[in-house]
Amino acid sequence: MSETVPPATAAKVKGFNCPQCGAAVALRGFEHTLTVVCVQCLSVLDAKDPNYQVLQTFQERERIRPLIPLGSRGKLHGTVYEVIGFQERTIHVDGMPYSWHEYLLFNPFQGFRYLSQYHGHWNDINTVRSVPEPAPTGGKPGVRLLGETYRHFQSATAETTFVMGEFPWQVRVGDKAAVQDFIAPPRLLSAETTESETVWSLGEYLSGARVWDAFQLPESPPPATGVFANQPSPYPGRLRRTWVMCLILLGVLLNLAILISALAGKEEVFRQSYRHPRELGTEAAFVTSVFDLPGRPSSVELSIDTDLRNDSAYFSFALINEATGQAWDFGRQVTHSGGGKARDRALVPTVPPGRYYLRVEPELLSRSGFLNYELLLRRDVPAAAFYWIAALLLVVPPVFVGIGAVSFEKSRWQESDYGESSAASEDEEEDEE
Amino acid sequence: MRQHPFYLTYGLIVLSLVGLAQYRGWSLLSVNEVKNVPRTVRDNPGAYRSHYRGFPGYFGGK
Repeated sequence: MSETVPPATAAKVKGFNCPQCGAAVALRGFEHTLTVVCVQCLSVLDAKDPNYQVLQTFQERERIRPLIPLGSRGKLHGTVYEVIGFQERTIHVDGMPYSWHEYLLFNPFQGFRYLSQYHGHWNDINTVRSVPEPAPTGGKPGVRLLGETYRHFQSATAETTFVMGEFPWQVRVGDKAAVQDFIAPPRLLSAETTESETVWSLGEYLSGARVWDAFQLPESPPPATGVFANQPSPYPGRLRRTWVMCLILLGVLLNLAILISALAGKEEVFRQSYRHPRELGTEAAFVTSVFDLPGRPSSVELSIDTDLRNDSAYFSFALINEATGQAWDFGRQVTHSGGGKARDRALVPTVPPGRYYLRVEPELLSRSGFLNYELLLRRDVPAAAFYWIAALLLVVPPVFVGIGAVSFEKSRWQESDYGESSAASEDEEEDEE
Repeated sequence: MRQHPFYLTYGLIVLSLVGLAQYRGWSLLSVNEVKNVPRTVRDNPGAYRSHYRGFPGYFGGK
């Protein structure tokens, strides 16, 4: 598309003077042009009439400046086309006007095609000769053309609100046509029905940059805002790839967990059974015998195994280094309610190697009866919680991409007849009836 | 893979942190570290006052 195209002056164009204002009017569409609009006074003239009869005039009219000037040449699908006509068309939805621009392109050998532009979204449009077959999809109306199914998007009445240049039909400002749009992104199939005929056209989504490149236009195209009906979603491929990557990373995490579990020492360094209270009238708190914590600084797992029955016990612990006096204070509550044994585990973080003892202070909620329990200490035990946290963190990106994909499609269909505002207004109309 | 440099980098950082956490023996347990606990604790465990008060199930002392 970026190849150099011949300048507009290279081709001979027929011309005459506007019978309304006297301005020069060019005819680039040869015998195909039925109507031409004077770019100076915007009068609509009959191109087939020897005197160029004035068909429509305007006292005052807001002039719209096309983004692609009339007479511009650009290369689309390997063919040079010239912009010969421009029109603005408007539909009203919930009382709000929505206007888009259409550029009529002409090549003497290939005929006509169109470019449409709405809020920076472009479509390359060609009329189709075959008539699509009805093919409802998911409860919505749909049509099928050339093996592809198109879902109904919107029906509206489009009114021509501004014209300029040449047209191969009898164009007038105020012309109306019933328009039905069906989509299969990046394609858009439209049916335009007037009193005399129904014309089907097939559009393909184009970025503004591609149009600018094709017509070698200066500066940058206007940025696209919102999501257009047939704008291809960037998410489906990205979502699939992100989930594939997520599964790979989760697999690596699983293997990492197996490897760490295999390499972890999990060495038993202390085990002792106790009874609480030991003797009536004695202090509940006591200290264990001294034990060694070998190796590098790492975790120490304390397991408490009790014979509690429908009761709770609270343990205050202090893991104390015999030599340095450094201590790790923590508390654990063990509760039994229902079946099974009441037990608990706690993982003390990053304890340096050395000789340690444990200060234990048990307390029974019921403050009566006896409690038998066993304390077991193991060195270098991995924390399973980190694997779950990591798995959660790894799943976050694909979930966000999924939310983006859903949001994109929601924005697309919000502008359709099936959007929330349209559905709400239809309900209101039914209620009024 | 090349299409996901950000996600791949993010994933590798997460996995590296998991490996580091397990190697260093990190834990989610809430503990209070206390310096210079007197040696007399071994002889009189009841005299030691726990610095840990973070557990909601604590029954209120002796």
